[in-house]
Amino acid sequence: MFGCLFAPLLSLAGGFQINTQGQKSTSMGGSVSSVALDGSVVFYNPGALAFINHSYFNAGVSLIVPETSFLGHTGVKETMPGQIYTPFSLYAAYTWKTKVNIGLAINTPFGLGTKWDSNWSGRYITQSAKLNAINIQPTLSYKFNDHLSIGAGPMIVLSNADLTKALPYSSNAGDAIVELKGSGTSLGANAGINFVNGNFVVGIAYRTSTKIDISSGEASFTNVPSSLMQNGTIPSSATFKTSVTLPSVFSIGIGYSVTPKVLVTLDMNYTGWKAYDSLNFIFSDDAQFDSRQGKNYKNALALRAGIQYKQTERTTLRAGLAFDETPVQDGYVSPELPDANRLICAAGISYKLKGNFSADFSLMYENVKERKEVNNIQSNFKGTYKTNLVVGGLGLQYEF
Amino acid sequence: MNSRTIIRYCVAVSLLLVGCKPTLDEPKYNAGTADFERFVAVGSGFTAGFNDGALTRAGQESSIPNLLAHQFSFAGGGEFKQPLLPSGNGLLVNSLGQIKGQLSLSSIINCAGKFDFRISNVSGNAAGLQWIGNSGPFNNLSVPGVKSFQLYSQFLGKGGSVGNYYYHRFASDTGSVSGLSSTLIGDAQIIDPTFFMLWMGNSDVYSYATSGGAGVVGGMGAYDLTPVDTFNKAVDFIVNGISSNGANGVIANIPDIYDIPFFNSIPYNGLTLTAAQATALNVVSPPGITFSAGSNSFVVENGGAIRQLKAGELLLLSIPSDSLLCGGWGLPQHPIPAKYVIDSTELSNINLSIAAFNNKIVSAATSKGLALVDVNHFYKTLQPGIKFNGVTMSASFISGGAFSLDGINPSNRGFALIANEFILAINARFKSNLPMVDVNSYTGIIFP
Repeated sequence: MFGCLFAPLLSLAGGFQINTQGQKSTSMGGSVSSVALDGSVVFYNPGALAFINHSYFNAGVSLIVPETSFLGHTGVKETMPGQIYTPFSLYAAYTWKTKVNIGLAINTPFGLGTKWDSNWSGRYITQSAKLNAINIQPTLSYKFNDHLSIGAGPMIVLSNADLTKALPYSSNAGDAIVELKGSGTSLGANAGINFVNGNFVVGIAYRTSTKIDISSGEASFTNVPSSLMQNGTIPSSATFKTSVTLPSVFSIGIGYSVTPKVLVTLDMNYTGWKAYDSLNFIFSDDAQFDSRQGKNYKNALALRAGIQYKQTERTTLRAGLAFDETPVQDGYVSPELPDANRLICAAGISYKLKGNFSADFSLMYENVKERKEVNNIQSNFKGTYKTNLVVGGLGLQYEF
Repeated sequence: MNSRTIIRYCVAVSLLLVGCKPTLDEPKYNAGTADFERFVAVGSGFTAGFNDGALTRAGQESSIPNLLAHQFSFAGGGEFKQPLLPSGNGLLVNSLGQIKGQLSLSSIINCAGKFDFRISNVSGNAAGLQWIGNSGPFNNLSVPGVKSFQLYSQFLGKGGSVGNYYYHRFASDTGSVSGLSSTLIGDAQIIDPTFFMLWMGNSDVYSYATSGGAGVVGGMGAYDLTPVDTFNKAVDFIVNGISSNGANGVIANIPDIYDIPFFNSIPYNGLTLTAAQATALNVVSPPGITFSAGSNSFVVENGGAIRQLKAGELLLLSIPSDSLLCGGWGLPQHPIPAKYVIDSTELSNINLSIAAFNNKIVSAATSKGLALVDVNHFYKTLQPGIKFNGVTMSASFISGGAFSLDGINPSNRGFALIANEFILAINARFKSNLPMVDVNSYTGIIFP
């Protein structure tokens, strides 16, 4: 009955990664694992943190405006009602000792949100799905010499998820609804190495996977026909446990300062989505509700390129391009996360304000390729999905 | 660059991006080699929209032909007029003209003190009997209970015990003047169809089956199994008649009864006994009837004697549930009456008839180049359950959702599932690309 209750969610990169973890990095297509542009270096490459010469505080927020349409085998086109999602990021990067810098990242590298009309054709699969994950990462970075540095920090990930869908038990008041809510904390680590030689920089970073255990999730059932509550078919609430593994990410990037004003970067990310093999919900008191869904994600590659141009003392322009491969295989595309390969264009600008403040703007467009699901294994929900995303970002920086 | 320039820059880029709404082109539908302009349906209760034990307006609106006509409308299909009942309670009418409404589900404490469902008829709406034959011609010429040879009967429209009240209400001529009524096939020809659907033969089998084999094999009476020759002639007559102007169409075969909840919901060995109960019963039981701890075969009345059911024999859902649950039915003292039992001989008669009728339906489809819907096979896939847009629907009574409360006729969702089988067959045969019906937008079982 619970098939596909808790499948994962919208996102800004293949699977349910969110790659807008800073406005400068977003503007450059996320191609920043070799360079330290601001406090976001703590997250993108802890190894490069030792190479900053100033301390930074960065605060930023992105406005994600997704547009997703679905054309099912019944020939009716349905579009998700307008939603805005606002992942945020906070960074502190501090030049502590000659060879040692420290930092703190509080950001949202994973998450997802989809919300369809409650009466849409896929309502028995999902009506809405939300996953929020906040990463807290204190970080230490050490510079061996002017060429080489390393850095690492633990990741404490606080997650909560909320999923609703209709159940095919109807009374004259319509379908029953189930909502699953749960939260969990998990640990991981982020580490990196940076190598600088003249105008060249190379960065390698690795974030471990982290397994979120939700040990006491709550399922609540509403609008259930009273007879089915009376005869015990459906309880009013039940507890469940589940776990979701957020994948590891391996990144390697290079940067080259063409002139003192112009920097170009190239990045490759390899995300270990294979860890997301299945999603199981176990109801300790009501085994009849247990659900086990294969997800069968595959590891996915992203390629990124960025350019930065210091136009004036006050103004820096950036642009980026990326290709992000989907981890979702044919047969497993579902409306909680109608994922496909993505092409990403981004641009942005930083502007020095008064004092030590500056403002960062970013704008990103993701073209998620049209994807046709012919033989859905979980739900037999067939059709074509198309998503575009527009993301506007605003950041404030204090540098000292 | 000053701040004004920056704002201009941002606005320009934003405008560029906002124009990027996803585009998904809706497909263009076509009829292929078929012509859906004037569509008629001929059949029995399955195509009339009869379910929950009655003909209802809601069932008619979800009838398979009506759902098909809606899909046809994407590819040149025209108006599809049904002989609709007034909305509200439905119509179940017997040969004496007595009426009841549809079945509804209520929640009760049963005779064993447990929460349970009771299925009972609401009151019927006599306005449904009113003649509307002057507001035709109708495209859906489906009449609950009609047998193959009655499709061209000139008595059918007369109603009463010689005819059929469901046809009497919308027959173009009820025979009040000439003594002979219009015929269903004749009314279908008035439409001058370009495309037809035909699902006949169900009542030729089910009236015998649901009565527990009350009739004879090879008879024309109400509870008889129609003679194969008669059925074959009727198929030829109807198919030739309806396609006489060159219309193409789709024809469906007959499902096996043991795939239908009415016949498979009560297991033959559903009598559960403790060791002590079995011992006590064995003392009083006649020779040949023995019990043991656990599952036991029910005791039934058969040919004047009593015996225990054999594996494969069927009990009907029409057995009063309290009698079975608390009244001791199925024990030697209270054998289950024969009208609730399909014994192995009766089952064999039914299976042979269905096989013969289905052979004829296949050969008619082949010789006329009709699309063929293998509903018989589809019902077998319904046993484990099939998934549509995340919902699993199965043939399980009440909980499965595909069959209505009468256990024989599909629910509205079941109609939609079957309509999709028709669409798949039509698309395959005529190279059309009609979209599927959204099954989940129709009601399954409404729980109290």
